[in-house]
Amino acid sequence: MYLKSIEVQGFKSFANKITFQFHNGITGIVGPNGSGKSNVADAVRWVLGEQRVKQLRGASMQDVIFSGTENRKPLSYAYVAITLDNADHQLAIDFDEVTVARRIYRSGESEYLINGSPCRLKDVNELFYDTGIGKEGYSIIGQGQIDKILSGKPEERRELFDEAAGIVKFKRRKTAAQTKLENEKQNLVRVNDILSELEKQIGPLERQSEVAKVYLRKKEELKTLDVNVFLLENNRLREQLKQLEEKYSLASGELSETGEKYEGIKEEYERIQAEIESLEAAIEQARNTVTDTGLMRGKLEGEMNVLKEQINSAKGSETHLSNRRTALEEEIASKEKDKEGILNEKSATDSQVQEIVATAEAEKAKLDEIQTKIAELNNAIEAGKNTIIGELNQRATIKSKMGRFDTMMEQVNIRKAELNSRLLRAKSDEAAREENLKKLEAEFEAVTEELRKMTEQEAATELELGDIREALAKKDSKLRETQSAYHMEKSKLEALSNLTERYEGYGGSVKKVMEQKEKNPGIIGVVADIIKVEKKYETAIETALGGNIQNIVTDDEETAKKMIRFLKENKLGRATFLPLTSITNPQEFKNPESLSEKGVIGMADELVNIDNKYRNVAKAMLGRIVVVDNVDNAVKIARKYDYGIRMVTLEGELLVPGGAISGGAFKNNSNLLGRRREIDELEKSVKKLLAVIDEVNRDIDETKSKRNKMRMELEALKTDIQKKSIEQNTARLNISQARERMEEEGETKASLKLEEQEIEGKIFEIKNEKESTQRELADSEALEKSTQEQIVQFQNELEEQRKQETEASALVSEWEMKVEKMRQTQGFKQANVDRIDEEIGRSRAELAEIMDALEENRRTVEQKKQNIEEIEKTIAASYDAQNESEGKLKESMTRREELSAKQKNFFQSREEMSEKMAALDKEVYRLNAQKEKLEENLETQINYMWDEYEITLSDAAAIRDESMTDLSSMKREISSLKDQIKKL
Amino acid sequence: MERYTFMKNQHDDLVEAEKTLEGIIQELDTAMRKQFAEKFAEINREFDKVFKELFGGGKGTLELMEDEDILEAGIRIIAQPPGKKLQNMMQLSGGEKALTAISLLFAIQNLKPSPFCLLDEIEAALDDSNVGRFAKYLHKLTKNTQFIVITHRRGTMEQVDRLYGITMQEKGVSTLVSVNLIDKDLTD
Repeated sequence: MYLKSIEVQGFKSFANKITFQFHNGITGIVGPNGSGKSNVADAVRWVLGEQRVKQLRGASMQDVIFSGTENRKPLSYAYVAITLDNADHQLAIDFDEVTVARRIYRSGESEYLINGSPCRLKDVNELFYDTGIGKEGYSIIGQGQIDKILSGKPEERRELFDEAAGIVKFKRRKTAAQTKLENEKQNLVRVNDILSELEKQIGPLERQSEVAKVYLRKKEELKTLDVNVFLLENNRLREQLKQLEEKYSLASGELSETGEKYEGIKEEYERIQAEIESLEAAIEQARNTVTDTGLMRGKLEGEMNVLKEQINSAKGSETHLSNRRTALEEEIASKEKDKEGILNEKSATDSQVQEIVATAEAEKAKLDEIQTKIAELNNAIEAGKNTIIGELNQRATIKSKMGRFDTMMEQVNIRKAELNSRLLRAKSDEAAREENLKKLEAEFEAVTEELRKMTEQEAATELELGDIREALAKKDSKLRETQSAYHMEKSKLEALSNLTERYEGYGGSVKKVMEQKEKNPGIIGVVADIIKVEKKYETAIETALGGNIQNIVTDDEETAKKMIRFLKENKLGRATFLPLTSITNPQEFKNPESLSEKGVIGMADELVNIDNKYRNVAKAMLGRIVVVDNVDNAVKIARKYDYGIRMVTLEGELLVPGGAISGGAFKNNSNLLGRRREIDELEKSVKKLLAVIDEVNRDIDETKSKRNKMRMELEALKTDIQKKSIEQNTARLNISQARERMEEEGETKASLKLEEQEIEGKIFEIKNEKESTQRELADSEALEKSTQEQIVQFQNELEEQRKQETEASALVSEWEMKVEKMRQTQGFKQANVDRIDEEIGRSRAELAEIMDALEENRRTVEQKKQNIEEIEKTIAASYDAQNESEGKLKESMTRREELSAKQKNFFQSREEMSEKMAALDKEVYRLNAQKEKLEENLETQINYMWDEYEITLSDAAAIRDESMTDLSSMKREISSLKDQIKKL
Repeated sequence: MERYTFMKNQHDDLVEAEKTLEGIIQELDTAMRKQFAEKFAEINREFDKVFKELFGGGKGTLELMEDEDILEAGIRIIAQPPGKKLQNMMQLSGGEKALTAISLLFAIQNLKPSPFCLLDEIEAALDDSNVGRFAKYLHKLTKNTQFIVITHRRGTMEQVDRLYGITMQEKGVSTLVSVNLIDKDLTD
């Protein structure tokens, strides 16, 4: 479907009818501002049913009609039609072409047309549903619509989207359904009202139905009576009707009989009347015939007289004509004789003329010959002269040609010199270029070499960088390992330090006392705090110390006392204190000799490291305990010294004086001595690890800085390579350019050489041509000379011929004069003969005419005589006819008299008949009226039966009660029943 | 009594009809909702596509106003011309506004082409390069739609197949001058 055309007439500025034809594709409409372009869009919008005046840029709908200008009157209506091609039947209409039109008049009347037939706006809208066309759609878009889409409220764009989504028709249907629903609801309310009203009325209605039943019973009685009365009445009426009909048929029979008679008389009268009329016509005719015959006779007699007169005059003219004929015959004879004489003379003259003409022609021939020769000579001279002029012209051309050859030669020579110099220059240039090229190539080589070196360096650096990266990775992993070791040791150390500080594993009382250390500087610490032991002796010493390990060392007894008091007061338990001031002189070891026994390591107090100020404490607690390597040796020693020495083994067995041996292993080794040693060891280890970390970190930093430096170097190298590559490319380009240029030069040189050859060829050519032209020149000059000589010869000859011509022409004119004279005489004679011939002819023609006239005269006389005879006959006949007509006339008149008398009798009898018929007619009418009245009564009764009880006559007969015969009593009963019913 | 029965029947009929109508309305409503939602999504996609083509980039979106019935809701247009940040229509320049609106119209034409389309100087506000794009796109749409373009812009005139000129030789009366592109150059 597409828009085929728009037709606009009287719409806005389109005063004249204008048709726009459109095709598929894009059609543009252009024009200056205010020329009415947008009115085209308005027209389409309008025809599609635009009702909003604002959209059409007007104040009222009538504003769309052309409103006139200074020079034009306003129009009375506006009309727009659009034609759409509907070959694809996209519009639901059975046409291949759809024209939609709209028209509006100034009066405000408006109409829509689809294919010429009027329709409603709704039909137009329905036609375009869902096609996107239409005033709501998106097919006509003006500046206004764009603004609306843009600046309008979001709600205003709905229309467009609804149309595009194709839900407009749904919306419409929905609205329709809603309206219908509303109506239905209202109807329902109304029906409900009526229903409730009806429900209220149902009670009273039932009471009424009781009454109605009584009524029906009475009504039934009434019906029986009524029907019987009806039947009786009916019978009576039918009887009456029968009687009436008999009377009626009698009367009407008589009437028709009388009518027939009357008709018969009337016919007879008419027949006679017709006869009289025909008689009168015959009389009239006969009279006319008599008069006509008299008149005709008079006319014929006059005619006869005229004819006789004519015959007389014809006879007179015949004598006159005979005289004239004789005279003419004589005249012709004398003229023939004259002609004979002249003809003889003429033939003599003719022969003379022939002779002279022959002589004259011979002379003339001679002259012609001479003139031909003269003309030939003249031609020859002319030709010679032409030849000379031609040669002169050609020579001028040749000379100019030669001049041109000279200039050409000169130019060619100049060009040749130029070429030579260019060739020389090209040769020298070539050498320079080759050198240049070599230089460029060398440059390129150098750059390439440099680039290669650089690339190698780059590769080496990359390799090195890879190594560094690897090393760095290794170092990193080492660092990570060390760090994790460090953290492990450190956390162990911290855990142990904590344990130590909190005196974990010591008795509650000891812990409490040690908490007081801050306040009491006299408290030095537990034994374990001040003793340090090598690991291998740890078990031995700890065993040796036993519970003493938890003893608290104080500076003096005072402090010990104070602490004991503190424990006591707070009921914190017990503790052993070792005041330094009181432990001054420990007991000496009694068996020093045992120290040299096998397996003895030494005195326990000597195996520990302790500050000198605590030496006594150590001695007091360990001074008498020997440390032995194992239990076997210890047992041997014990045995030797009668079990009097206290000993510990490295494994932790304790041999006390008296022989007891205790040993085994601690379930929960608190290892109070080892703890301190371990802390020391851990501290050392941590320090070492830290040092290692520092070192590795330094190492990494160093490596990294080295790597960064290398990276930077590499970066620089790469930049250099980039630069060098560009240089290389430039050099390469230069070389290729130089090569190209050299090739070009080579080509130029070749072309120069070619040109040189061409020029040489040209020079040779020009020389040849010049020579041939010079030859031509010489030839031409020779030809001119010979021609000149020939011309002189021809001119002499011409002179001679001219003289001869003068003589001959004089002779010719003389002879020609003679011929002319003879010819005149001859012509004169001929003229005479001709004149006489003409005169004879004329006389003969007159003679023939006269003969014809004579014949004609005779025939006319004959004819007229015949006419006279005929007329006489007619006259005689007319007398007979007149007599006959008069007889007939008399006869007709007598007959008419007779008939008229007869007719008078008819009038009387007809009058009588007419009266009788009128009387009968009245009677028939009266009877008929009575009959109709009876029939009407019957009809009324039957109708009454039907209306009241809906029964027919045959139905009624079934209800007939034979007992009821008294009509008047029945009627009384009926009226009483009716009263009763009325009361109900 | 008879009347009562008759009315009762009628009452029942009315109740029945009311139910049927409500059913129809419900059905229509559902169908409309579904169709509109589908089509709206399509238009939105197409709009973005056309927007990108006409603006040479950027992004265009359509949004339904929230908290409203889908069948009555307003529609918001959000445009982001290339190199600018997302903004409401009101903040665009005049030419951008017009081109956005044209994008929307073309998107709709793409999805549901109307048989013919009459454009009345809608590209007046565009600059020359946008007019060129507009006209080229117009050409693309001619496969399904016939266009009648009222215009002042040379860029558009160059793309049309046929030209009609309208002038006022006589004051107040429009006259037609047919100019076929083949016959005459665009010099006047």
